[in-house]
Amino acid sequence: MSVQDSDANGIRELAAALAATRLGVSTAEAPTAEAPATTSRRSARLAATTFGSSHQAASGIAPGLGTAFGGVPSALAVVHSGTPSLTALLARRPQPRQDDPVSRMQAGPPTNYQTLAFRDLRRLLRGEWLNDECINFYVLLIRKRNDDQARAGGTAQASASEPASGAGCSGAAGASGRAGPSAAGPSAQAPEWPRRKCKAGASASAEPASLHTLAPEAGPSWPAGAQAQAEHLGPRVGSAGGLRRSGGGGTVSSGSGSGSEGRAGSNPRARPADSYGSAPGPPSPAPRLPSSYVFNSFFWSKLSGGKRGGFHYDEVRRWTQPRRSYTPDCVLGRELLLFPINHGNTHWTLAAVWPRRRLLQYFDSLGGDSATAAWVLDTLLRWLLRDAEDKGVDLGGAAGWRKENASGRLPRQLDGSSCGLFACCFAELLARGVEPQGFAFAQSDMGTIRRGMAEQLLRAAL
Amino acid sequence: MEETGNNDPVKKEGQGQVISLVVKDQTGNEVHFKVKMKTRLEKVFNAYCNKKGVDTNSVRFLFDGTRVNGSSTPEELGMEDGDCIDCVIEQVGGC
Repeated sequence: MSVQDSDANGIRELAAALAATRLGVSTAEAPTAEAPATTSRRSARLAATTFGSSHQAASGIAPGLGTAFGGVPSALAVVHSGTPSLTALLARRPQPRQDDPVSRMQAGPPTNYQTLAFRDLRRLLRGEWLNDECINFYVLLIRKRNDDQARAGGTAQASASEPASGAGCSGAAGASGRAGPSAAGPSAQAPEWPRRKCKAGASASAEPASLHTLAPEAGPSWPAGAQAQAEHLGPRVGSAGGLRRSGGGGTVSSGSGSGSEGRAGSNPRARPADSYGSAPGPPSPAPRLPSSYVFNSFFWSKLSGGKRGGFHYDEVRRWTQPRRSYTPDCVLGRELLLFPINHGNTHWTLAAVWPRRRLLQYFDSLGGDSATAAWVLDTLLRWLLRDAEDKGVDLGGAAGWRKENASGRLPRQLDGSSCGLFACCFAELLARGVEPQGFAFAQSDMGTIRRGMAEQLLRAAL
Repeated sequence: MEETGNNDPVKKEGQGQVISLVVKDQTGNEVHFKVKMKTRLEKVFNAYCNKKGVDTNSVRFLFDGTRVNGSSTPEELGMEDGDCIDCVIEQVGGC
């Protein structure tokens, strides 16, 4: 994550806007904390995030931001938990060098890059429709969090430092290790980012062979974790303004329902030290997030061409190569693939693919019509099978895939402007292992979620 | 960097010094550019936007699915001759 560009005026304005929404941001100090002498050339652009091999916590954003909050979107929790002052974050922000206004401080490969402009953030605060920049920036944060967590989990497993969570941890690390070539622990060996081109046709032979095997998952079970989360959830949700809905307990109960899937619902997110504020709950067992990959919203536009029945596989064929997606393992080896989908420049929805559960889900905050859901899921399944064939991944054949339109069970959008927020919340909760019936937020929370998301994005961008 | 017009066959020059890149929009129209390996790609992007008459803020450039940082070069991204950059337009949605 790095600061690519900055504009003191824009930051001041946003800090003021955030303060106006009673986030506790001090506008008086915020401008003085930074103010780079060099005005940037492209003043509209706030920042860019890029992450890859070395995940430096330079931005100060906790990798587990808000993940201790059960089925509540972290954006909701951010506002209610004691967040560090934005001033401190601004002060810690790397200063651009005098001679190089567009300072290049990228840590990872020069991709996985996403810009965020002030006008995009303003959309959040002003209650406008979201555009792709907000959505894609947010889902990149989700992906980064899960990637970071996977690395941390690998390290913990290697050192066997957490005896209390031994069973769960080993199951988690084992499951993720099987998916990738670096079974010994993705974090132990610093991934190398090859600059060399790998043409799509030769991908099967040019890449490590172990990329392409998907062992059936021996699901780690989390009975203790679910219990711990139930305890953990209680005070948190209460403090978040009484937003518990009837579905709030679903995060716990759904774990047993899906049998060997293990991850379902009960994601015992621990590491209170990583999350903001002081977590009052007891430390939970080892956290385990589904290994996730989040595509950007243009994947669907490219794949479908924007038309019903469209299927342009060649457009996205190279998107999933490990060298192109800058992931150490095969994208199809992940447990969860998320697809933000824009429909006709008017509506945001989300699709999720669980390759190992052989499950495809579609999330539409407006309910939507089943024909659209069927179209999306059919196309995605077709893509998945085709891509598996192309990349040499064995997904176990074309039969037995479940397509589920989860839209009926979701928190329902009641206004005409917040579907992007709903889609982001769905994505975030899914990436935390919460099942749809455990989504504990509602339309009435959207104002808070807007502010929380804006703060999350701004904090990450700095 | 020099623009070669639509669908012109582009000669490869030198040994990896100059490559041709294709910028393709969502309707499939292609614009070919000849780029040095060490040229910042924002030069390509600006030239493309000028040619198409679009605002740089309303389009995004993707290379194999990931956003391209304008300050990076083809060399850093491992681009090869004939590689294609997708130009996509802003998406919004709310209801």
